[in-house]
Amino acid sequence: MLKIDGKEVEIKKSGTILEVARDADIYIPTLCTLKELPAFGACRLCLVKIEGMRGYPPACTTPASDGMVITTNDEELNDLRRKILELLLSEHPNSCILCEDAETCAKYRTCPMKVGQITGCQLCPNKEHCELKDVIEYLGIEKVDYDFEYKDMDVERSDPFFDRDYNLCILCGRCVRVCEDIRGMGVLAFTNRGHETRIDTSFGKSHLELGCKFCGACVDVCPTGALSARATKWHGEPDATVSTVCGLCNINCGIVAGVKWGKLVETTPDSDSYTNGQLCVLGRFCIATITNHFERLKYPLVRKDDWLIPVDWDEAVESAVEGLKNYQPQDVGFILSSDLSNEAAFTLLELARALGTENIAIASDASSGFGGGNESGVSALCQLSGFDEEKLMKPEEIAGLKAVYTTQHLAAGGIATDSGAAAGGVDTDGSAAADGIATGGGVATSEKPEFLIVQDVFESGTSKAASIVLPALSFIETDGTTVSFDGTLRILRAAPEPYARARPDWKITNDILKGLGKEAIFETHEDVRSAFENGLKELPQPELQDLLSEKNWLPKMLKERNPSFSYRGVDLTRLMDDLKTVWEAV
Amino acid sequence: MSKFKILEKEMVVPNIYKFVVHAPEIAEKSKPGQFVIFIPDEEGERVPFTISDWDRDEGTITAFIQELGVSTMKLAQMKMGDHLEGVVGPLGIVPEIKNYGTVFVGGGCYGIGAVYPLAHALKEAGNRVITVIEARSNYLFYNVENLEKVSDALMLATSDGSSGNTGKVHSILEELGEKVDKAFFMGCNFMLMMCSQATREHNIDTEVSLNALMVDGTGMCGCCRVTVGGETKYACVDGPWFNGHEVDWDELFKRNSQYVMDEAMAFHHFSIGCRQDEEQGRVEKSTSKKE
Repeated sequence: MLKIDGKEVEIKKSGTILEVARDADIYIPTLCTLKELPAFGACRLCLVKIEGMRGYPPACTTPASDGMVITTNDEELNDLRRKILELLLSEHPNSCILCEDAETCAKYRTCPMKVGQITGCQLCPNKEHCELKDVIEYLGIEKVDYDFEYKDMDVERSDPFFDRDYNLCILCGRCVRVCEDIRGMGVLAFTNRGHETRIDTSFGKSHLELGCKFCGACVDVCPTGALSARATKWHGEPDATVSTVCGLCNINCGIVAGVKWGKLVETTPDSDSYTNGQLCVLGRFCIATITNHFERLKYPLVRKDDWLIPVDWDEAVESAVEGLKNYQPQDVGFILSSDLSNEAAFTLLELARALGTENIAIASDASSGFGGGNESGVSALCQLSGFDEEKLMKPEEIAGLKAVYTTQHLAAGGIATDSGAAAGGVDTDGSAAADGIATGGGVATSEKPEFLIVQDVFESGTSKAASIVLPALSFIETDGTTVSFDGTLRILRAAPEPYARARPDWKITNDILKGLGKEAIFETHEDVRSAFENGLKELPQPELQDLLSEKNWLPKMLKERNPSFSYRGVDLTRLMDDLKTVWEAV
Repeated sequence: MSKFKILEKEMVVPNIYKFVVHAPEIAEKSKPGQFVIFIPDEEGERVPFTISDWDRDEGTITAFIQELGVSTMKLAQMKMGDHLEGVVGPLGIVPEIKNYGTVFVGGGCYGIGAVYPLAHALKEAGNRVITVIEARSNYLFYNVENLEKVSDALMLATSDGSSGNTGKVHSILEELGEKVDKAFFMGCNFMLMMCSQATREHNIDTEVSLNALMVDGTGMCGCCRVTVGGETKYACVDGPWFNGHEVDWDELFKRNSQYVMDEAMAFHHFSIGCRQDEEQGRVEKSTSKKE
């Protein structure tokens, strides 16, 4: 038991004064502490007074012990803190804090300024989340007694994905520590000494050169606007946030999806998830951009007189149904993307069963280090639906059939089993496939299928060669489930509004089932889930408890291997220049 | 020399870039207070900028460009020697230049550069020119030498007081204690509104150069509609100069935020990473200071 500001506080678990105070909901200002990291004592804002102790020890580095009598909030301490903060503000653009028009300005200038270099709070992309501002408000700073000195450093914008404006930096060291201690990368460091201390890279090299993997952890811990995600910094506060998981590889990291104007505007790490608030470049910087990408498939298309013509959903489904009826079961094949949700895969397998075909292939992503978003789930569901592993075909074998229903692009990356051997009829750059579908191993099938249904998210060479194109929603736009590499069933939640006229995969397949007059018709995604969930539970689970019990298991794993930069067979580096730059570097 | 070549490009203060562009036909016809439209590249938007100077002999025009979105970011990444896809102008109605007596010229942000030709012309017409420019802090002033040459008095106002004068153009105006016969303002709409409120109280005739969203700049698209004195006007062909006391400011702010979603989402589709520094190198590394 100890006393903080006259309040009896129990020490629930040993820790610093700051931790004990936080547990007791007592606010002590600080700008440099990070929950996951040991105390650093850089900002000196958490100074407190302890009876019987000389001076003003920092709460973040002083262990709490029984019987302490602590003052965290009185005029003397706050005067000290104000002076410290004023010193910080003498090098952090502060004019908006002092401006006599600040209130009217904030009222009228609601549009973000979208500047390249930040010279005031009103221009700052971080203005809604500024921790510096929180402390300024707590202490009631209205003046800065020291002359302002603008550091006048060039904004660093030459690396992919994030901008660095160190003119705003307050040297809290969070970015340096997260990069070194959590990510194990050590790209960032303090350089120089004294007044000239800066955050920088060793020898002034670019982040790319130093092997930065652009996980964005530094951006997420920055208390100011010094580090900011280039593509996603100007949307302001999201209208809503949704906790879900990333579907780009089978780690399925926890993400918080920010939604504004009905669109996915950003994804940030979910610190309450099993990945402990860490992501890779894909989860942090790519999901929003690819979800809003102009190369998304927007509406159903049916080939008429050699042209793919936009049609309504009823016509597209009817064309698919009528087309499939023309073929014998042995001539029809299905290619399941390993990025499909369980619901999507299960419905598709229902359709295969209804048609009586045994021609099933999983297009795997495993060659790249991690599996596709739902690698384990898709193959488990195949078994559950009676398509045994040994009977599964290869995607290129399916591609040789007369009628093919694919849920991903069939070209290099997603389907090629031999690395580097991608070629053939379908270009990776998305130009139209003239003579068949390129398959794995660099061998193009001699003929393209007579009848090709492409149910996919992005435009691709395959979608351009299709007889029918069915635009599907991505993992971030549909409710469903996925099985991660640890064997856990994780929930995918729809965050933004559906893109254009795209629909959930399971619903599209379900409508085709309906059109064929078959059973196994589902009303909701929960219906689909309840049809397979019990079966999935009985499948063996990998033993990964040792790995996952370590706090930083994800960064450690990502340091060794890179996730695949593809989704449903589409090379994501084609869709994002910055990702291409990162890919070329790794 | 080919058309629309960027002969000079430099960041004069954070976010504001000085462009000198080869455009002899435009230089030939430019008048104070007019604007041009720049098209950065083939896929680029048309963006209006005030003509901040010109040289008829050299066939060049000068504009100060503030980086405020994807298109201005593209412009900011262009280099000396690059070519703009297009330049349209000169556009807009010229405010009446005559001897008013004492004129007050106020500028902020891009307006610090843009008021120069106007102040120059007013000075030549025999006015006493009082020029006041505003910025957040002292390090954000530029073009000061030019303005000194054409002003009888020049004052620098800063939010943080670092220039010696704490406040904004409108607060300097209120404390001026000198009779002003006419006022002109260039800067962001917020500054124009605050200044117009200040001059209204002192019954000073006021003209402001409005910043409306604009597409073609020639009166066709209607994007730049503003309500002035209860009438709908086009900022491109009826303006950009309007009586500041008659502008419907609330409507202007509302209209200017109409595309806020598209403006923010545009950053997903244009990346500048790794394009910029090849030529510049990482010259001013974070540890070294400029100057």
